[in-house]
Amino acid sequence: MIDFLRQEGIEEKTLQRIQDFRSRYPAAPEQEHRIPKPRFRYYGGEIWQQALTALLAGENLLLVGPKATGKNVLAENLAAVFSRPAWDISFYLNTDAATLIGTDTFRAGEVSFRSGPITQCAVQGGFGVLDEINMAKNESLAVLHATLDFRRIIDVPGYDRIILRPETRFIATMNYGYAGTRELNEALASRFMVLNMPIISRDNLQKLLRSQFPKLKQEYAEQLSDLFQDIRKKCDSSEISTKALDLRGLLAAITLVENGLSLGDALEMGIVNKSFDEFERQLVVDLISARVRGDLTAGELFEEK
Amino acid sequence: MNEVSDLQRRRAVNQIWNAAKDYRFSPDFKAFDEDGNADLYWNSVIGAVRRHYDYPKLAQVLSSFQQYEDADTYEGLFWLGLENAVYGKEAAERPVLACLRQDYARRFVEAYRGVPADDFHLYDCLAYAHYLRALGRRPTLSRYDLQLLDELEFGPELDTDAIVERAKALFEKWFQITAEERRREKKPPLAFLKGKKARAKGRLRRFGIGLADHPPRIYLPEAQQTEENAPASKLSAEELRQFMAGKYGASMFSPQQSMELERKLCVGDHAFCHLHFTKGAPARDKIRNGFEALKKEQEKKQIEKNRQFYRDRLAANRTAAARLAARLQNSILLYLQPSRVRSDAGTLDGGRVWRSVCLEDDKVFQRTEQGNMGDLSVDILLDASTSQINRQELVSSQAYLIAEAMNRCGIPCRVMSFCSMTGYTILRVFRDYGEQRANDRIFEYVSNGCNRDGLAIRAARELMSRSPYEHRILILLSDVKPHDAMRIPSGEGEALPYEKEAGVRNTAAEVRRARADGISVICVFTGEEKDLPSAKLVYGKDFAWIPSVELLADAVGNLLLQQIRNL
Repeated sequence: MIDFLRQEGIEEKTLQRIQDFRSRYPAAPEQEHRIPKPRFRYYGGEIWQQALTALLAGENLLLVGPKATGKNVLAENLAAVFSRPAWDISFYLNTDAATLIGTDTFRAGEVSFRSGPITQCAVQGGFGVLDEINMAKNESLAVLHATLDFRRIIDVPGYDRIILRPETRFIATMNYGYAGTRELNEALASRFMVLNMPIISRDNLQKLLRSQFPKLKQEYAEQLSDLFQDIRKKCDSSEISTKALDLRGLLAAITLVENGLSLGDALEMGIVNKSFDEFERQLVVDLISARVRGDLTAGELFEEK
Repeated sequence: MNEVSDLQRRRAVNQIWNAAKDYRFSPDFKAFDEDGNADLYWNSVIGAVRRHYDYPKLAQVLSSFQQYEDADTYEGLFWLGLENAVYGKEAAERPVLACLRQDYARRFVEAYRGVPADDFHLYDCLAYAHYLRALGRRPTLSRYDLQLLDELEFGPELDTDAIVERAKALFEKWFQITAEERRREKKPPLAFLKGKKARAKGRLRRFGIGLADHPPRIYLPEAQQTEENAPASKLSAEELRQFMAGKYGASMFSPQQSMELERKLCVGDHAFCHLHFTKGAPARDKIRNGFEALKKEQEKKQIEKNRQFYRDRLAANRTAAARLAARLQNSILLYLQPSRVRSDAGTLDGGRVWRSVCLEDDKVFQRTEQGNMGDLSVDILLDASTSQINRQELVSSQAYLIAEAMNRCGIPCRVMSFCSMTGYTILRVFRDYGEQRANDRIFEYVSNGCNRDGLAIRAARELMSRSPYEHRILILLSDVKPHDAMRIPSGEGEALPYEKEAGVRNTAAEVRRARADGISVICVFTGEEKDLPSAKLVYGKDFAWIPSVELLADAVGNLLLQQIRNL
């Protein structure tokens, strides 16, 4: 991972401090299984530099960006770089203090405290990934204020005050404008360093495709990443919804071609069919036809090695 | 000649935009195949020409052809040359273009196979030869034609100026025409076109093996496409849409979204109707004529009157709003009582601990479920047809008052009005759920036209289906006298006029549908006593009859309280 960061152009000083962090806070063997082993890597040196610097300085991160900008990929990558166990906490409308911190429960004949993911993360010095943080109601997140700011504590009424371990970090993600999301209030936002996630560039998308599929021919890596930009352009001009703007779908489609499907069929499943409106699908099909031949198969798409 | 649907036109435009990598222009020239479907190859070419060349310069050449009898031929030939040039440029970036071109060439050659050569026009001849070349075959042409083709197939190395230069020389040499625009002062640029009936009327013409969409004002820079060129009497669908946008405000939705909404909503009894959703934002298009300007002036006066009316009774209105808010608040508090539920985690309920020991029932804890204010939303739909003309001030000030009260209780509220004219049902949104500060726009309520209640309810239902709230209430202000010029289409026999019984029946059906969607529909009935049965038929028990609109706020308050109690 460190070598990869070096390739992305991260300063040596930062890399050294990451190494220091890792040797100062080695993960316990029983935490090993919680350390993410990322399947995808995040490409974008500048964002890496900003994120690493913030985390090294002890700050929490809020990753903001539209669909397919790699918010969760970056969060997972960061936990892996620092080699810390990660807790994935998905927020939803009814997320409340109990689901985050913990509640009373009955265990072995007596009332005991069942700790929630935030508490566990704090006690074990992990990286907590607060996914879609703006899905929850702001009021119910107030309980996190003391945890996220300089106090770094969790105070559970009736129990002890838990002090966060120094290596604990929280990384929140949010997508502005998804259905059901709401504005994050100032009190909460001020407890994060906010990173505005850029849209994946043509070059970085090509890098991603080539790293996922090392045998993919350069010309098709170019065409497929151009196709993705074409789709984004059409979304930006609101001719189609963002349903077809699906990076996961694109990657999965290429995997299907590897497994024997033709590119046209695979893209249909991975991208076109994500939209359920007939006309919109037609427009997406046009975009694809204007980029690649549908009858391409693995033999043509990949180099034989 | 084949017809091309609006959707295919839209699709063609999208293909062009995509190839041009620019979505900010509206293409004047689109290509379709023989079945009227958007032609991907040619539209990609048209888009690519926009991207690689300075299009206005090329458009000047194209528009200069229009003065000649054989304009179509010259134009077709010029495009053929452009295709050759842009293909060379674009294929490097878009390798698939080679396949698309081969496909098109094959289809072209196939279409012309077996046609006796004598029937070939010059364009067909050259195009046939050109596409044979694209397929890697050698065309058989006379020496002269071959030379013409060679000159016409512009190379990718040429820039815009070079192409224009070459084209001018070529057309002068072979056709003795000057590809220069004649100077014309004052006159509308294409006045001479009006004489050519076929040209001005027929928007679709043959192009290649398919069709080309061809507005009469083609190839002119947008600034020159003035209103004068538009036919004054009968408005086309697009012009009617622009007219609506000019009169009532720009649409809330993109053209494609509007089209989709119409496809979804204007069906059944409302087939052939149109919908215009607007927030009253000023449209780009100007007022068409003096009559419209006069109307606009009257509307402005009415809006001012509405405001003045409210201001004159400011104190009384404010108290009324406060009273309504207080009443609503009380019942909401009742409704919001937090409930406690048993669960296996939470606060220990001492009295139940025995159950865990004796019955292995772990649900000995209690959890508080907060009632949620955000669950309730109210939509108010005002009838803005001519029947309200004598009480516009009253209606607007009462609606304003209700919206103010909603603000105070924190209930998200949307205020809309509807009216219909020339087939369009216009849904004007004054303020949306989140727009607490936009109440002032309610004074822009102005009545005119007919009322197609059924379609308006259907449109409101569509907007409400996108609302994030769980309990949705729709309050209508109506005299339950639906009336619209567009008839109800029927399978056999004559179409029924949208009024009286048929209109009421349709409205009732729409109300039932909205209720089936979980929307509570209630009506404040402002009509006459003789129409009471209609109101009962449409709204069942959920309506209140008010003899005077001054009681609107009170009536709405009562109905809302009832609804909240029922939640």
